Amino acid sequence: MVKVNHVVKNYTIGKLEVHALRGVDLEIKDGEFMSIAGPSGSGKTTLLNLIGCLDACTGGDILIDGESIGGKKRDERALLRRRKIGFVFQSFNLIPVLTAYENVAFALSLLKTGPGETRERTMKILEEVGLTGLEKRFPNELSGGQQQRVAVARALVKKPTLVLADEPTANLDSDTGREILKLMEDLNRTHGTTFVFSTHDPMVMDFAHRLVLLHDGAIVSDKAKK
Amino acid sequence: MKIASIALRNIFRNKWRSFLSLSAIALVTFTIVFLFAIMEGMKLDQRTTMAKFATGDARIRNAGFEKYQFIAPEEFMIPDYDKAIAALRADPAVETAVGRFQFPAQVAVKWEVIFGMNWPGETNSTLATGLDFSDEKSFFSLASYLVPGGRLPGQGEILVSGGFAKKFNLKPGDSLILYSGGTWGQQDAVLKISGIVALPLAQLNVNSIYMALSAAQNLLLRQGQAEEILIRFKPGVAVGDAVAAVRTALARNGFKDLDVKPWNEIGNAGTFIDLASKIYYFMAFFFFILGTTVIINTTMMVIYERMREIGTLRAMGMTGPEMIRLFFMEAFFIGAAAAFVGVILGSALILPLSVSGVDFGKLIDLGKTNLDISDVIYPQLNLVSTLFVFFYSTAVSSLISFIPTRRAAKIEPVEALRSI
Amino acid sequence: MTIKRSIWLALLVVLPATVFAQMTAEEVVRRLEKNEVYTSSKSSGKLLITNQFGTKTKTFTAASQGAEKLLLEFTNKEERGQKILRLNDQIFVYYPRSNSVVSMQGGALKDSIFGSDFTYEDLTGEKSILNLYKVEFAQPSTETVDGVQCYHLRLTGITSVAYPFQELWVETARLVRRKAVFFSLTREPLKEMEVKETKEVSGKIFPSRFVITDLIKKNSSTEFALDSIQINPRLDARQFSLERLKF
Ligand SMILES: Nc1ncnc2c1ncn2[C@@H]1O[C@H](COP(=O)(O)OP(=O)(O)OP(=O)(O)O)[C@@H](O)[C@H]1O
Ligand SMILES: [Mg+2]
Repeated sequence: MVKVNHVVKNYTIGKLEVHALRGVDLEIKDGEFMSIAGPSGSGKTTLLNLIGCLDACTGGDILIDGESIGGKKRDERALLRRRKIGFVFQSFNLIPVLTAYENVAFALSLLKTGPGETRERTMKILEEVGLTGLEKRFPNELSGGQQQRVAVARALVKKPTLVLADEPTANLDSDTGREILKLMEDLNRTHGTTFVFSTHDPMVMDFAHRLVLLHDGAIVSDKAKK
Repeated sequence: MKIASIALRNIFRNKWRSFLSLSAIALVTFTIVFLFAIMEGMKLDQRTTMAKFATGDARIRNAGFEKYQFIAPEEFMIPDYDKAIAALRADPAVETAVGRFQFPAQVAVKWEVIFGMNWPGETNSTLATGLDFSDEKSFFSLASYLVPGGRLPGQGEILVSGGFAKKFNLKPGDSLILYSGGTWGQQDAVLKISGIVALPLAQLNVNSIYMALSAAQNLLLRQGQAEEILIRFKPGVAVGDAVAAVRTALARNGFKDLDVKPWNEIGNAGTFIDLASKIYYFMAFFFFILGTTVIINTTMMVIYERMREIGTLRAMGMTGPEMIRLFFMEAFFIGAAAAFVGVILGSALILPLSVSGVDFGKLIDLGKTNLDISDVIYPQLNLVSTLFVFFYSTAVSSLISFIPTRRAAKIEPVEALRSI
Repeated sequence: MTIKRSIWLALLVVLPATVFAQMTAEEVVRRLEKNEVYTSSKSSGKLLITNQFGTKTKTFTAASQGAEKLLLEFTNKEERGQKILRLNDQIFVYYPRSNSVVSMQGGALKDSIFGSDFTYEDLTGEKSILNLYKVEFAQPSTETVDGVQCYHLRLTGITSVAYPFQELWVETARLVRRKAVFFSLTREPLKEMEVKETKEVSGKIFPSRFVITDLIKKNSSTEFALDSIQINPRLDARQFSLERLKF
């Protein structure tokens, strides 16, 4: 469970202060399939980065499974991400020198998982994302949708508390995007993994079970849909 | 997936750039291996040269000679040197022992005859050595350096070193007037040049003259005395032990106040080589700095190119130290491979040269320098120093990558992810 | 005591001293050199060269004519027949074994003769002291050397000379040299000469034994000891010539 307590995030550009988040309160329960939507510049990425422990809040606090991340050092946050948070990026961000299989397995190797278990879990998740037979391909030998499937598998293989996806379909055509969303929804159901994804695409919002609307750094609506 | 194999694959992402880094380090390593081999060659050369021309494997002198050689060398001769030599030759470890007499002398090479007397215009400084030509044959075989047309000298005759002969246009059959000076007593003689010796040691070749030991003794009125005895041990004899044995043998035969020194403890034998090695180490270090700027540059480029990858890895939970390790390994693999290539190429060049030799005499006029080294140096491949260069090369080129990678580890993951 | 008597007494005491002082430093030197002038001399003697390891003896015969012609011939075994000829400011050394003559020039003049404290240069330059040096009394002007009262003179070179400064002690009674110290330009003492014995020959007082010490070398000294001295003997003037060196 993730609790966002009155989080403020300011950026300073020279002398100018940008208020990216102006006090956001949010509670994400385990197993949610949730979308954060809003116009460009509304603070979606900023919020996901904060929840994902990639950045530190200017004010307020975030608790993941009851653990405050406010006071953590950079490498402590890294270890927290390694265990609990999976990321899916807009432009896939696979490691180009690693095959599909290796990209996924690498997430487990960071957790020092033994070779047998690594193999088993990696093959299983690749099967689940529908990439059986493509394990040995390098990212540049895969289509965008296939790459994003690898990315989803990579995020899920370590059984994280939370998967964060910042505009995961923005670089895909709408059919492929829909397939990816469908896949994430299936995985949310079968694994019970919490998914939080940002978007400004209404089609994507339709998939969400809960929709949080951000505007100018503040939540303007928060609706359960299904 | 091991960090090491990611690093290894990263190297092949930009083959030309990696090749360039590798070449730079390999070239540096190659140069250093070569320099060190030359240095080893010089050491070996000095050892053989010292033993051959100047010290033998061990040298015996009067204990006071060293201290007083510039004030009163004549007071510190080895009396009864014949007896000492006989005692030494009885030692089974000793192959041969020979007496020598060395003294500075002024030499006139041309003169006018006025009123029935010889009037030299000027004289030149030389180092005269009286030695036993037949006894020294087994190590300082002057006969083998004779220029055709010459022969070993008898009484009233002298051998002149090549450089000296060339400078004054001397040839066998010419005469010179020799004046001994200083505390040796003022003695003089007209000597006939029986031959010219082209010595491989530039410094000796410049101004040495050689005469029979007995001729030197007669000239200086010091019959039965020698200044030093040089010992050649049998092959395979450990010089240190043999020297100790010689000391006891001499003491047993009633010789006191004699100083027996192995060749490597004599004079300032080591100082030039020591200095040279320091210069070489410094040069090695300097070359590495040059070579490693390539590594720094490459690593920096790589970091900027892979910024988003760094962001992804950080997002996946890689810590700063792990990040450093990844880039360090890349530099390490390149460094190790380059060091290996450099060492192999260096060795490949040195091995034939260690047989054929490198003629430095052709490159620089060593006679003008004050170095006790031969013109031809045989570079030596030394396993220890080559391994040292390999590890040093690898270590320096990989450690230097810490400079840019430490900065990579400090990049905020968000910043890295935002970059295109 | 009356004032008159005390003046007399003072005069009596002071008078001999003022008589001394009336002789100028130049005059001391002039009187000294007058003793040293003779048309020729012939002598034989020994050169004893001492260092920390012992003493070497060289024997020689010497002949001189005027102040500027000198011929030394060594008679000891090692250097038998070697000759040193001084003609004015030139020095020639004759080596019998190679029948060769070396003219000593420049730096070679500073070479020691047989490793002694004596250089070839020391054989030259016997022009009148007054032509070469400014002479004045030291303070005090007299001093005793080995119990003998001497004038103590300071000499400062006025032309280029081997030793730019000298101190000279001249016996007050006989007006002969007793001791000299020779200094470098930086006033470092280089050499010391001390007369140990004199002989009177034909009305001239001759230093028959004197010691030269190189103050820079340690434990070394060189002694000249003359066994026989003849003043103004009949000499073959031709022996002071280059042609005759060989004979
Ligand atoms: N590193 C930064 N430095 C300065 N300002 C920033 C930084 N990151 C974000 N901002 C600003 O914060 C505000 C929120 O940005 P954010 O990227 O979170 O918006 P977003 O909703 O993700 O927009 P988009 O839909 O375009 O991705 C914007 O005004 C943006 O300009
Ligand atoms: Mg965004």
